[in-house]
Amino acid sequence: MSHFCEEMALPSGPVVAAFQPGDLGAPRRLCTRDELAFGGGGVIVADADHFYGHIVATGDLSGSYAVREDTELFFNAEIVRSDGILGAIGSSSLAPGHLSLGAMHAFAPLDNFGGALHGRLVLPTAIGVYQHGHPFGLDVGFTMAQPLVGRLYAHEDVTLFGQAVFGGGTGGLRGGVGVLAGVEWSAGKAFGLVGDVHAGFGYATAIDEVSIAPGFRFAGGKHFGAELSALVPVVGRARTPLAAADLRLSWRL
Amino acid sequence: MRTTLSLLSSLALVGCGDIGCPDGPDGCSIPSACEGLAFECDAGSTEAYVITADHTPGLTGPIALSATGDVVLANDLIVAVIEALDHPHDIAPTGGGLVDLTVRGEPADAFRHIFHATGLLPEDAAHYDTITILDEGDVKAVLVTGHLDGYPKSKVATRYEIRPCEPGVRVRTEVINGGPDPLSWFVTDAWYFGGRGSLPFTPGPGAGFDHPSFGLSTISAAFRDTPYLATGGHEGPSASFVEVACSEDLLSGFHSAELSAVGPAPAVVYPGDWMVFERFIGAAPGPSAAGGVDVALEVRRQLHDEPYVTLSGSVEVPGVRADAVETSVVILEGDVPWTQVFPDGDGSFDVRVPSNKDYTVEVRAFGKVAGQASVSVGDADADATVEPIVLDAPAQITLDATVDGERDQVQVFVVAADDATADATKGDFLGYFSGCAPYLGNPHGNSPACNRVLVDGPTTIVLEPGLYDFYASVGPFSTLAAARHITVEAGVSQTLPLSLDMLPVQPEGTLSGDFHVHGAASFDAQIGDLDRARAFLASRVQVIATTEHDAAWDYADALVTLGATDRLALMIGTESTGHILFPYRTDDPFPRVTGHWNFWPITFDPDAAWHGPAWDELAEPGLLMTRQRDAGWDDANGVVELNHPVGGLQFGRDFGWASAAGFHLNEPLSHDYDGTPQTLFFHQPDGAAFANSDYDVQEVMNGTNNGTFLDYRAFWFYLLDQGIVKAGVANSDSHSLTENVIATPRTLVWTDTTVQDFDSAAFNADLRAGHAIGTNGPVIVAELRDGDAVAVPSVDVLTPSGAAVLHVEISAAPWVPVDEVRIIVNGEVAQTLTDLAVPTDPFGDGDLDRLSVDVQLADLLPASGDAWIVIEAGHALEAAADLDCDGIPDTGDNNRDGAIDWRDVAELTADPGVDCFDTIGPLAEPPDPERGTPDAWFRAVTPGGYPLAFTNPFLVDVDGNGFSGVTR
Repeated sequence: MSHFCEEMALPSGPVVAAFQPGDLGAPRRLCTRDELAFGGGGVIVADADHFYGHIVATGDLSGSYAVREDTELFFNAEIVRSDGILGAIGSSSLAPGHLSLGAMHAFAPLDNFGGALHGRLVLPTAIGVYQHGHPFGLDVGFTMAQPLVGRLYAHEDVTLFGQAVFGGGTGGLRGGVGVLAGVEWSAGKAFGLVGDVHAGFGYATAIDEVSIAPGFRFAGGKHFGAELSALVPVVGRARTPLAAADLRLSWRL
Repeated sequence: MRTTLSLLSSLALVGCGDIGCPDGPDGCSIPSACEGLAFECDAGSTEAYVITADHTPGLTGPIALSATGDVVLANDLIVAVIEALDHPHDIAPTGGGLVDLTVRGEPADAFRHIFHATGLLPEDAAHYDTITILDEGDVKAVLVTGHLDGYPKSKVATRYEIRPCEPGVRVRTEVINGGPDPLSWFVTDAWYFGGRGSLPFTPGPGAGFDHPSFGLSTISAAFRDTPYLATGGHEGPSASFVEVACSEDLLSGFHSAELSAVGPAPAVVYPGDWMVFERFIGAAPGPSAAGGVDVALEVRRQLHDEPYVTLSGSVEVPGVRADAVETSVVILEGDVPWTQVFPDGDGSFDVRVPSNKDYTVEVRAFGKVAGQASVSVGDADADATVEPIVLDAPAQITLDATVDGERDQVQVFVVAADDATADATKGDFLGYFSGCAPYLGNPHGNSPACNRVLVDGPTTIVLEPGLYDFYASVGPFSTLAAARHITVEAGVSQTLPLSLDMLPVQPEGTLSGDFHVHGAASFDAQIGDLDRARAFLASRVQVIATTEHDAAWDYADALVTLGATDRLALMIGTESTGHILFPYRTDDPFPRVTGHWNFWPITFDPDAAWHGPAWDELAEPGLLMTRQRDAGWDDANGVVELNHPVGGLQFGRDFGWASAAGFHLNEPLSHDYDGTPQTLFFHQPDGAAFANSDYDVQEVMNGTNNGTFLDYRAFWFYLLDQGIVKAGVANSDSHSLTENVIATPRTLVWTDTTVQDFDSAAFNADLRAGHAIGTNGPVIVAELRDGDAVAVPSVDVLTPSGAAVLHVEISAAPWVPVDEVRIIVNGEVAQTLTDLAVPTDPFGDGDLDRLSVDVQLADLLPASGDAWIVIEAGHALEAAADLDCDGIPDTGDNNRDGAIDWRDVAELTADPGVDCFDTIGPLAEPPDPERGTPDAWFRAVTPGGYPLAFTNPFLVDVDGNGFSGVTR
């Protein structure tokens, strides 16, 4: 664990809200911890000019396990996924969602620098929305963190991600890159704020989105933590989401 | 929002094998559809070819739209035609859809169109780029590939396949989401019926021909699941069509008289994922849904092991053939109709129905339920018979009409003479097109239709007992023959003579015309050529511009058959009818069409796409005019007409250009184009040789019901105020013998040419010049007399002296009430004349001249500035107000309290508290006249209408510097 990773229940690292199913392409925190969390999230897309909307809401169970001080395994399971397309003729699905499995390995801890490699595999378990194709997602990223002053830290993340649809047709293979930079601050061990800027490139178009990502963090005692975060694009295409939101309640083991 | 729940139901979505075209059209090979389906016969055959001048499928009739370049797929039982890619029809952006489908031995096509889509919006339609014929031995196929119109990366491929001995076409469509966003797809066959033709039939609780109505915002609630879609009810010669899913257990979709859309249930489709839809589209002879249902039940027996039996029965109508009273039999299991059949002339019928059910056999006659019986059917190997159903005996009456002592084409209107008869004889056609009392036949079919009968020599009709009035008319310039309070008794036949005489009402040197008429070649009409031509003759109109929607048709053969080629001048035209919505206004991203426009004369080519006119989609009017000119419209000697400029939506499409463009009639038009409404009028679109404003004439009266006159007149006056002068015309817009009567109203054109020696260029020149009035009865002869100079209404600018006199003469047949003449100056009524002669005998032949008056022009002109003058005659107009402040009258005094306010708005329950309302309407209709009054007799042959005529303007340049409009 990086020397600036503390034993505390307060969540840390970049904002966890994400646009892609199964959190594909989402950044990862630097610090390992044994933790279980449940919560929910959602994404809203609105393209009024073309009578299109997309609303996703998920109920999630996630967790991480530090196999070593510098290495953790993690998962996120969408226990339930409501996926609805709004339009002239809409449709929706309510079924179990995506399961993602990942790993993170921190290295090169310096007094003023920490870094980690992370990767994630998103499995095609959201069978309520599949017709014939089964998409697999994979991302690989590098996250960094640096202390600034006091309890103010900076963090950055670059993640490459891609998707391939088995049994699908053209257009199923695509990829992109996400870039993030931000700061986090905590008032002791009970309250924290995080503010990130995220940009995505290449998945749908050259510039998928540039977003601001605020987050509010709370902790109670040594075990209970909570994070409410959002991802709000300020630059994007017509069908860039209006926002993504995430609420996680965690229990540090 | 349709929701799919649970793991198990999502597993069921796994479809038919592998995708055939995963990467789009390159190297595409789609497998056959409907594996497990097999039909056998002796000596079956198949063929597939591109239509050329030397190799055609031989399909006939106005509904057959196959053209050189289209592709035929045919076998021993059916003939199908797939459009060439550059021959799209109706709502489709490209060809590749099914445009003709008929059974061998019946060359007259009765099939409109099927195209493919994944939703309701224009961008969801299949846009096909390639078409390939596949010869696989006995199996022939056509493969069309492309993409969704608004999603170029989402690929579509459809395989149409024909096999020997099969009564239809196997179809498989694959659609891949190649874009980055999940989409909601309803992969569908969109059956375009048009609104007055074939009707959709589906088995389901309370269904059959009855389907929930819907709007664009409520369409999801109209979805129903059904084992098959069949069609029925088309006027003969005809076929029944059917669609059965092979890749799904049930079809999901919605239905209406205009359109049915069926396919797998809508679903979320993520990037890279795909959907497949396999189905069998069949055809069977005859107008009954049972033809298609019989095919569907055999397909479902093979694919789903659902057994059926043949149920036989008969309907007896004492004294007449069963088909004389339009008997229709529906077989119901509880409230689920399974099939429908029109019995043969002897009353017998045989239909297939699912086995092991208890059925009610319900018989309709005269447009209502008339009898029923019960029957139980057992297993598949035991066909069943229902006991004969005997209906009440009808009455018969033979109508024998003469004109000037000679038998000739006459239209007779049969009207219930008392409330009891009206209530007892109300009927509709299979639940559609209601409002006929008495009901004599399909309101949109051939004679007898609704309560209308075309008579040429003794003509016998069958009707229910009751008390009736019979009115015979040959248009507004003849007497009205009436036989009133005729008791018609069951089992009794009688003959009714009706005698008419032509009257000298139509001025010398004029020809009457109707420049907006439809027949079966239009997607929303099904009246046959012969009866359409008979209706022309029965109205005594002299010039007809045939204006089929998005097509052209020639009634010359019908006139030859009727021996009437010297009685009518035909000009072949077309009505460009926008279907595909597109955005062209910068103030509002909502896509629209650009209204309806008539063009004549055009080149009629029965072998060409659409029979000659240009493709008319995705074009502002100026570009539309350019395309039509390039396709053969004679722009120098012809006419382009703006139809019904103001109005609502028809299946989500504006049929009025002024409404579609959003012109605000309280603001001036502008030449500085920026895409906002007021700048669209003069806009010349890119690539166009014409501006949107380059049309010649505008409909001021459209339809036998005058209800829209105030709106159309308001737009015409708005243009005149700004110095934009277009000649005004009056047309029927008739689509059948019902709703609008041919040439009621009509345009009277002052012209030197004659019917016998017709010069269309000269006629059209006079029409464009405004040498015309519009009328449904009153005739206005107006002249501006200035010494020896006499001017008539026109688009020409006049500079009369101060001594000029406006001379007005009004005449009309004695059954046409005329109680008011309005002299309108610059849009305001300057004088109302009410001292008109009243005929003493409406059924006589006298009292034609109602008014002759001179008015000093100086008394009419404003104190300063130029002026335009229009004269109107007829009844006083219903009061109307413009409650939404757009310059167009929208609301009448519906509660008759003398004021027009929120209380007259149908959808308001409280005062909205604003000066300009968002919710408005309707305009007030004149009250129904009392029976036995002149208004009632007029209304009997002018349904929904009141007497009305208007002149084109006198344009008065007072200050001598030209006419550029007026200031009110």
